[in-house]
Amino acid sequence: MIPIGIPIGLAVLIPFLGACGVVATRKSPLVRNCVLVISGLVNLFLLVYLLLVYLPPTYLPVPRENYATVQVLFETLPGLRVAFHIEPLGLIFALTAGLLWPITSVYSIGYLKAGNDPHQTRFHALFCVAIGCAMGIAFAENLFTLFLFYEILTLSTWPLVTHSRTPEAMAAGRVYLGVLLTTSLILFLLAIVLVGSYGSGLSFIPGGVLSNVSPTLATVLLLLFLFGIGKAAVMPFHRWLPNAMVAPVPVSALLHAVAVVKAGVFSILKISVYIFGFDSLSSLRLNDIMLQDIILWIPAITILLASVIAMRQDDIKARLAYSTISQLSYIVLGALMANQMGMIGGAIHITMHAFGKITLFFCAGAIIVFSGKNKVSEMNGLGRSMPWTFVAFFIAALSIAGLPPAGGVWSKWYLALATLETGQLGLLAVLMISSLLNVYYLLSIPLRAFFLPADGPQQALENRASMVVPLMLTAAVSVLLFFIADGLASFIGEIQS
Amino acid sequence: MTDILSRHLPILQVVVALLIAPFCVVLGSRNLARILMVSTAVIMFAISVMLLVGVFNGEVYSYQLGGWAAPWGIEYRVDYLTAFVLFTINLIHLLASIFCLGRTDDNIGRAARPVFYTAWLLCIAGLNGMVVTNDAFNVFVFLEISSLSTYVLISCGRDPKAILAAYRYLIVGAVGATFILLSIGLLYMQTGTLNISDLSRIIAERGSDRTIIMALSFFIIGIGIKCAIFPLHDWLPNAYSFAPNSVTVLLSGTATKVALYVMLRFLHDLFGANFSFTEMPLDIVLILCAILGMLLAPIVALRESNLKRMFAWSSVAQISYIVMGIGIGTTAGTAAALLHLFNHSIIKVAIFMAVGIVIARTGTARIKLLGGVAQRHRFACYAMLFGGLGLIGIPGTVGFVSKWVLVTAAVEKGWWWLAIPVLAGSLASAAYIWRIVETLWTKPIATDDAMDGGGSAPLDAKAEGGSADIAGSKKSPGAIFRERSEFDRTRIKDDTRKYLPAAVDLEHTPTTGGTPIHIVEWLPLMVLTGLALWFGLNASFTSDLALRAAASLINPEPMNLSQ
Repeated sequence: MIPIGIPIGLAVLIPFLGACGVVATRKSPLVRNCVLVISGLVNLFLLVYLLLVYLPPTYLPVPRENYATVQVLFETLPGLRVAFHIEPLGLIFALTAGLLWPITSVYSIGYLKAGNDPHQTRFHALFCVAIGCAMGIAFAENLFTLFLFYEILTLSTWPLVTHSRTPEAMAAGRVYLGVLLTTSLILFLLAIVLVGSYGSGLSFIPGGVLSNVSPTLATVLLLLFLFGIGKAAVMPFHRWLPNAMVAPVPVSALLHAVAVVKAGVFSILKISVYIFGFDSLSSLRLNDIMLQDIILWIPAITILLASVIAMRQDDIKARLAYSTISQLSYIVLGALMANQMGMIGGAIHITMHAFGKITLFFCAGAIIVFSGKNKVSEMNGLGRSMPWTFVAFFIAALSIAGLPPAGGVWSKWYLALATLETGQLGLLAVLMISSLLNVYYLLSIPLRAFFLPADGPQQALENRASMVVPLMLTAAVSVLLFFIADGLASFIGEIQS
Repeated sequence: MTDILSRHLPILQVVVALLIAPFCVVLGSRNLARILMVSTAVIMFAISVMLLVGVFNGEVYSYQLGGWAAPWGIEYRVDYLTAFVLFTINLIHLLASIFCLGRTDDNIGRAARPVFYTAWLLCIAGLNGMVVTNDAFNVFVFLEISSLSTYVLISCGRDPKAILAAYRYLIVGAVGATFILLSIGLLYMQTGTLNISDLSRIIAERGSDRTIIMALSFFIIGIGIKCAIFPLHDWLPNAYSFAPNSVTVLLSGTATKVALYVMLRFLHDLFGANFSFTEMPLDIVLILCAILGMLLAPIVALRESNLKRMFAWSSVAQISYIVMGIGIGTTAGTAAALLHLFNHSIIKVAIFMAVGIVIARTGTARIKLLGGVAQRHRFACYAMLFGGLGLIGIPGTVGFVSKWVLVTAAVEKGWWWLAIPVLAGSLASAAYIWRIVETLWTKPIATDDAMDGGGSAPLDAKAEGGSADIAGSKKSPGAIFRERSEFDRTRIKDDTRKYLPAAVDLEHTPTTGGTPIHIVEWLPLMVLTGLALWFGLNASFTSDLALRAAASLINPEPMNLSQ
């Protein structure tokens, strides 16, 4: 057996070490920034190594069965252990976060410098901790480990949300913590306790651990998980996400478009595949009523409502926040449909949406920093002052709306196929309508910037490479994903559920 | 030699402190008294560890006091449960004794120190005696010893109202002790014996009658007061918040815990689980009290303006978790109660140490005036935060472990709905903990404006007096100012912060100012935080111990622990 527990453990540990490094080198901003970016790159290198190890057997000198894929760190109580393992869903999530982390680091260094922020060290250190938690969630081998990192993630991002310490930020921080702690400490934890008591263990096992649980209890558990994982922002527990937009833009970008919210939907996806299993998920019923069909409408309604609300937002970050809520529920929907297509669609939508949305947030941050405007209605003609930014915005908007040649089209394609498989045409209609709304509220922004006449004088505004390069890079990856989505899909498709 | 020593361990556990206590006064030297106190604490801790090891090796200690055989003479008895509780309280006592040497209680003058140490040692001797004895009347005797010395300790608080608080506790505590005495009297009347094992046997043989029911009722009210079970908790917030900082530290980790132990011992051993929980509806009563306590006490804590008193209320809430475990009554439930007894001891003691350090350095316990203190007293504030996370029950902390065990025990018994108040209670704790976090970390440092709200002195007078629960005479502002400067010479140094502009950027101002924390203060705090961290991540030792202790109580014959 070749242990790959050490690289997994390191992948989780390195962001935390990075945080320590950042704090230790706080006296010299240059060294600190180098530590930050280097730990991001080292982490990415490790993740790529893990991917290579885990690729299908044809690529490997040694068959996968020869790798010990579970690494137990320690046992808190009998049956309650902190352990990591490696499987395709987690690897995809970890790679997405790990790839975006160094890019975001560069961007946030530029952003904070532009704003002359006095608390940069605190910001960067907590940022590293949050990424470390995301890695822990990605590689969690059981519900306890996942919950451990989930809660640390909530707490460590609170100082980031309240970074500016203004009364509005503190109020938003209270909503943020209130919603996330309420849902997780009451609903999520209760669900975990019930799984531990009635199911066959807390470990993530293909096919699930709830095979001998009554359908009624399984339904209760599903609802507890669905609403208890508040980070997935399923309505009505979505309020924290728009509130969290008072945070600096890089926080909104990486945490509230990638790490935190994706940790939520990833947890739901993982629980539906490895705790419930498709069989018990599709056999939820109460006296002949197929409950799964009804539960599917919870994310479906969130998709539509959030899109409608996003249309009505003039503040660009608020619009993106509601767009995120809507897109997250695509993934939740994919997870709950309990079929192969839905799982694939949900999983690759994590990546597609991450790259698209982070680009949009980078662009929003660039617009706010360079032009000082944050209202969509004020952005007329801004495209000629900031061409790169708005081109990137355009590409990312295509990806989110699910139009070629950007990656988002594939995840929506798989999700649409999955709705057909469940036989619910209503859900297909929801996906279509929501895509139309996406086109309306996202693509209108670059169009407005390029084609409407400007209000004021025109000048080149994009004068900070550390902010412009990252956003072009992520937009480029969005296009690249269009071409490699097939590989991702077949990678996920290996999971036998 | 070792054999004789080992046989006498149970009595030594109590007698060492009892014997040394008077010497603290007689010698009349503060330094000698200090050395005596700490070395006693070390010896007592060593004895408790030896007892624990002995019990682990399968020994059950039974010591006949004065050589009089068990039902007639007083018997000291040490099994798993006893050894577990002894280990807990002597660990806490050792750390609290070290902490007590620091500068958190400067107001206790040189002359008063030896008396203070004497009372301290008598208190812990009494608590140890309550645990170790197997004689019902002896429990009462030791209860009185520890209670009386506790009143002395509390009255040493720096606020003049501490004397009032001590007096109130004396009245309530005396009522509680009287109830327990009445109960023991009734039991003696019916059975003619005072030995707990003997009582248990006779009650089981004769069955219950009205007198025994009365005895149980008197006992549960009396011990309920001592444990501060929810509706009988009234004395605790006052006593904790007015006592000297180190006394709060000692009491929060030992006094209520020992009372809870006595309750467990009496309910299961003396009255018998069948009588207490099946014939009498005590499980329902205890669980109801626990639910009320864990939901209501955090709400009061949230509205509290005094830091120490807020954490005192949190103790009321946390005791409810232990009471719930006792109420569940199964081995798993009792193990959960014992586990939380230990876990709560270490985190709450750490929190009160940190609070003591902060209060001593800033000169105020009023939450409003503690804005931004974390910039100055980082270590203490982070320790407080870590303890607070434990109170909430964030995974990875000891609080999570005990709540997990408790909820699992409830689900195992089929009472899964108990999970809801437990989880809601931990959420409620999150509210008051986060209020403190916001104040300590993000609020601007208190400025002249904040201090001048009605004049700094009356504000502080109110601060020290909590929410004016105890009627005390108002002092003139000048007197309070003089008093404060006497108490805290360091405060003058610290007060430079008052003259900083409000929006000053603290990341770039030196944060090393203020009195450095003395080693005797940070060392115990560090040890406790380390223990909390370790047992939060790897609870196999504590949970195994708690399970064995619970099994030894409920199922006295050795059981298979692998299940």
